[in-house]
This record gives sequence, structure tokens and C-alpha cells, in this order.
Amino acid sequence: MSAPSFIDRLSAAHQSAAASLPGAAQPEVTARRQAALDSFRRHGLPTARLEAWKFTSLTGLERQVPPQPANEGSVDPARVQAATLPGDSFRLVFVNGRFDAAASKLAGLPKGVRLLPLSQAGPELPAVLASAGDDRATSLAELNAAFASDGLLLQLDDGVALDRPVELVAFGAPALVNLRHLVRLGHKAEATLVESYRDAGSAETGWNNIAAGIELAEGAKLTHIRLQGESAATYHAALGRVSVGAQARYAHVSVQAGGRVARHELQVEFAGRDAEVDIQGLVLARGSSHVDHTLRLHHAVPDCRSNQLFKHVVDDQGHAVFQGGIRVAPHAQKTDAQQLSRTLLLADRAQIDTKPELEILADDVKCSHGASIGDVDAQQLFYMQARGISVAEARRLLLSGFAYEVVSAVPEGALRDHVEAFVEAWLVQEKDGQA
Amino acid sequence: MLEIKNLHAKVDGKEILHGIDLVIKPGEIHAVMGPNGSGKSTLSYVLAGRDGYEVTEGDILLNGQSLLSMEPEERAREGVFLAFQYPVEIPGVANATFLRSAVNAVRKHKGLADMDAMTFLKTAKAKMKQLQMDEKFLQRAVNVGFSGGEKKRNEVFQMLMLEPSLMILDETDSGLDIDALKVVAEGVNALRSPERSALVITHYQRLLDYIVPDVVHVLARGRIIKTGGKDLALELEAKGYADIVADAA
Ligand SMILES: Nc1ncnc2c1ncn2[C@@H]1O[C@H](COP(=O)(O)OP(=O)(O)OP(=O)(O)O)[C@@H](O)[C@H]1O
Ligand SMILES: [Mg+2]
Repeated sequence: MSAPSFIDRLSAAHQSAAASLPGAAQPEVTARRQAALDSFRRHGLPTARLEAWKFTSLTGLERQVPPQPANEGSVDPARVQAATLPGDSFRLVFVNGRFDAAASKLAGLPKGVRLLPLSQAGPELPAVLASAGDDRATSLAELNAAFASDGLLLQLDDGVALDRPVELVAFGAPALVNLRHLVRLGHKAEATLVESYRDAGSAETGWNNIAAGIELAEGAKLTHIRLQGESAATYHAALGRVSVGAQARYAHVSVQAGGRVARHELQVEFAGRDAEVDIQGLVLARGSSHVDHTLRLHHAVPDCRSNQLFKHVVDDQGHAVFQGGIRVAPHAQKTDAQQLSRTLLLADRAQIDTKPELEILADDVKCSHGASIGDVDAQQLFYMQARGISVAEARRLLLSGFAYEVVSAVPEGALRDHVEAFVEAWLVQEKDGQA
Repeated sequence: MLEIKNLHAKVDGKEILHGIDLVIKPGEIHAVMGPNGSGKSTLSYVLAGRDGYEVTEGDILLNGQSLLSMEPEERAREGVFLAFQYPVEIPGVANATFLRSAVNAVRKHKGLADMDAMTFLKTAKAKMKQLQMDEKFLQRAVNVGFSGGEKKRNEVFQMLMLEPSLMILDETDSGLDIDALKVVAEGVNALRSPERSALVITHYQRLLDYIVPDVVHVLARGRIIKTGGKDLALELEAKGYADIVADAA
């Protein structure tokens, strides 16, 4: 008899974990989890045969990651401190897929704000665990629903504006971690969310499988910063689904600067008119890091605007993937959808696959897309050298300048400083130039 | 100070400079004039060590030491400063960040400690005042969205901060209005000293009213075809290059 398959081993792990997962006492939840597991079993891991997974393979994962949930663990407080905002914030820290109350800050929540870890949620669980689809392209989200051990739940009542950012900081483990988040902003509610996945300091291979849902009611505003800086041994796969109501604003900045394979798929659905979505991404890939941003923006209604700017810095044998999907429904007139991908390839073996996917079915729209690929600019380099700056330093400054366009999309102040420091920390490790 | 000996240089396989000889003594200011396309900027790039500008014959000595094997940044640290005819825009990099890196690279080479942020800011603001530049240019990205004149002023600002021993100004006057021209010239003059030399490339006599040269050269088709005193510039202004170029041919 052959050894049990990866999926069989995952199923077995689910049997033993089920009783300790949030909602284990709620029949509706356990049924949903079982259905999710069954869906995952039917479809299996996504493969490169799927268009949405064309450039990103998870085959190494089956060999390298133990197919079982992470045990409890702890993280050096210095790492937590380095990964969090210095000023006022509400904060949820997760270590190995479990809420770490001691490292979190939830005191003093204003009225109309519900913010808690999933492990403390009850009635919301069915909504949080709702299916994202029963097919191979979303099978990881179903796997996540089956195993989700914790996550962030944020709900703002109508008209509530949070004056402090909400931080979600997660440290992975050398096993499978499934965090699941749900953010719901009521009518004209406003919040800032900083979602961070950080290196726990282990050299062992881990797997973070993340699913996040965001629902913005009419006129709501969410600024959503996402920082992924995991170890070079980590697999990270995340699916984010955002529904944007009429006149709502969703501003997203994603910086991915780590991982063995890191993929963030973001699906945005315009649910009401006159809404605006701005998505900016920065990829910093070196070593043999493979970083994928896959977007699907669906302009399902008229009069909405979307902007995507993705910048990639790829060194060594790094591989960046950008798939920018925009669909404009037949009646979604007056849509304005812009997309730009820019890449610096710093080494011969560095790679980018950049693929715009535009499906425009309305005729009165403004849509454009563009892509550029190159090395740092020789004139700019010479100009800096002519002022005495070494090639290595000049390259670092130029990379930082390249990144700044995305960094500056973060609101000015402590938040931008935080993101800038995250980016600079990657850049200072940039190897010295050849000269 | 600077000795250029029988300098031949190629760009993209094409020889542009066909044997240039030029000696600038410490404290001297030499002007180089000449028709468009004669090789003035090429000469300045060759001096600064730009990639792709290949010296095929001759030598360039700075204080007796050949520059040819030095990288551009080494030349800059040795005191060569080129104010570009077309300053380069660097999006996303603040002028202050860029300039502080430059100042500290040069200081390090001289064995000096880094200039701390406070001292840098103070010094920079003083120099900007001297050039009547708004302090906001420190926080703006290097040359991005600067007007033509603002870019030129920014070049001179960098020069004041770096205090080079050889200043090469490539048409720093073009694009400057009359008042700015005076301010910039005063900036350059403030750096004049018995140890510091300059090579001033210009099309207009007017700059040389403010930065008075010791020697004026005419460069045409990659050769220096005439050398004289500051009156040569006046003569060129009156008559143009046609006669001199014809005489030399
Ligand atoms: N990359 C290149 N390939 C071929 N020819 C070049 C290249 N760069 C410069 N040249 C040529 O070299 C000649 C000298 O150019 P240069 O820019 O040095 O002139 P200049 O004297 O500075 O002119 P201007 O007064 O217009 O600034 C020109 O004919 C120019 O076209
Ligand atoms: Mg020129």
C-alpha cells in the first residue's frame, strides 16, 4: 500500500483538530467546515493548468510542509515590536495561527466598533466561514474555512470612524496556519487596517493559508495596508475578496517582500455606483523568492473608478508575477479603470510574468493598461556616481526611489514611516553592486 | 591641476574628440566655447568618466594622477564636479537624501566623519540662501518637475555643498534668467580660490562678464582650434565661429 496522500493526511489532521477549532460546539459551523473540507478534497490544490495559477506552482509545498496545523508557539517580543506601529493602535497579534492576547491591544474600543479574534467570535462564525466558491481556483479558501483557527473580525457600525489604525500582525510556523479575517464597515464608516505577515525567525518551511473578506457599505472608507515579509522558507497563499458599495473608497497598498512562494489574490467587486478603488503593490523579490499578485476587479456597475499600480524589484533568481484582471460588465458605463505594471529586473536570472487581462464589455469607458520592464536607469546611476556616490549606494537609492511611488500612497505620518521602514529594511540587505 | 594630453575619445564607436590638449593651472578659469555638436559636452563626460565614452588615445591628469582608470565616483571624490548640461531627474529620491549621500561619500574619501543630519541641513540651507533657492527644494525629488533654471541652480547648489577642486560647468547659464545668472555666477565665484580651477562651457559671453575667465578656448569638430584671453569671447560674440572655423580648416 502506498503512503497516504498529502490530502488524506490533511483530512486526518482535520479529524484531530476539529474539536479545538472555533465554533466546534455550533453544528452549523462544524457542518460548514466539513463541507469546506470535502470541497477541498474534491478539487485539490490549484495547479498551473488553471489560468489564475498559470505562473505559480505549489508543488514544493506538498513535499516540504507537514500537512497539519501548527502547534502553539511564541515569538521573540523584539520581533513583535519591530513589526508593529509605535503609536496608538488597536492590535491583534497571532502566533502560529493563535491569538496572542498578551501582545495584542484591544482596550478602549469606541462605541460601534466590534473588534475581536475569531477564536472569541460566536454568532459571526457562519458569515466568516462562508464559501468563496466550490472549484479548484478557490480550493485553498475552502481548505482555510475547514481549518481556520483564528483571525480578525472587525465590524464598524454606520457612521463610525476609527481614529486609530487596526493592526493585524501574524507570525507563521513550520506547519500549516489558516487565518481567516472579516472586515465589515457600515454606511459611511471609516477605518485603516494594517495587515502584516512577518518572519517568526524559524528556518523551517511553513505554510500560511489566508482568507480575508471585506465588505464596505455605502460611503464607507477603508485604507488597507498589507505587508508580507516572511522567511525565505515560507509558503504564503492569500485570497482577499472585497465588496465595495456605492460611493465607498477602498485604498489598498500591498508590499510583498518575502516568502519562498507568496501569492496574494485580490478580488474586488463593485457593488454600487460612484465607488473608487486604488490598489498599489510593491514586490521585492530576491534569492529564489516567487511573489505573485493576482487581481480581479469586477466593474459590475456603472460610474466607478479603479486604479492599479504595481511595481516589482526582482533580483537574483527571484520571480514576480502580476496578473491584473479587469472586467467591465456590459452595462457598467462610465467606468474608469487604469492599470500599470513596472518592473526592475536586477539580475540575468530574475523574472517577471506580467499579464493584463481586460475584458471590457461596455463601450463608454476609459480603460488603459501598460507595463514596462528594465534595469535601473544608466543616466540616473551616472548622475549619482558623478556626485561621488558608489554604485551600490546609488542603486539602493534608485530602488528606494522606485518603491517610493507605492510607499507614498500610504497616508503620511507614522503609517507611511512604518511602511517605508519595512521597504528600506529589505533594501539595505541588497547586495553590494559589482563595481 | 588639470592636464589633458592629446585626448581622443569615441562614443558608440565614433571618434568625437580628435586630440585635445589643455592645461588648467590651480586657480585658473578656462572657458570653452564652440558650435553646437563640436564635442564640448563629450569632453565634460569624458572628464567625469561616463560609461560608453571611450578614451582611445592620450591622458587626463588631475594633480599629476591619471583619471582614466578611475570610476566616476572616484573622480568625484578626488574633486571633479560636472554641472550637467541636462541635469537628470530622479523620481522618488529627495534632493536632501541624494545630496547627503554625496557629501558623506566625499567626506569619507577625505577621511572625515559623516556630516550629521542637523549640520547637513544647516549647511544646505545656508548655501540655498546664497543661491536664493527655496528650502522646499531639499524635500523635492531630485530635479523632478524643476524648471530649466531651477535645475541649473540645483547643480550649482550641489557644487557649493561638495566644494570640488575642479568645477566643470556645461552650459550652466542656458535656461537661467538674467537675475538667476548673476546669482549663480556669484555662487561659482564664491568658490574661487587659488587651489580651485574651473572649466566653463558656454555659448554666451554674458556669463563670462560675471565669471571672468583667464583663458578662452574654441572647440570645433573635436579639436581646440583657437585659444586666447577673455577678449576672444567678445570677438566670438561679435563675429560668430565661421571665420575661425574656416581659418582652422
Ligand atoms: N552616442 C552618440 N553616438 C553618436 N554620436 C554622438 C553620440 N553622442 C554624441 N554624439 C555626437 O558627438 C558630437 C558632439 O556632441 P556634444 O554633445 O559633445 O556637443 P556639444 O559641443 O556639447 O554641443 P551643444 O553646444 O549643442 O551642447 C555631436 O555631433 C553628437 O551628435
Ligand atoms: Mg553640450
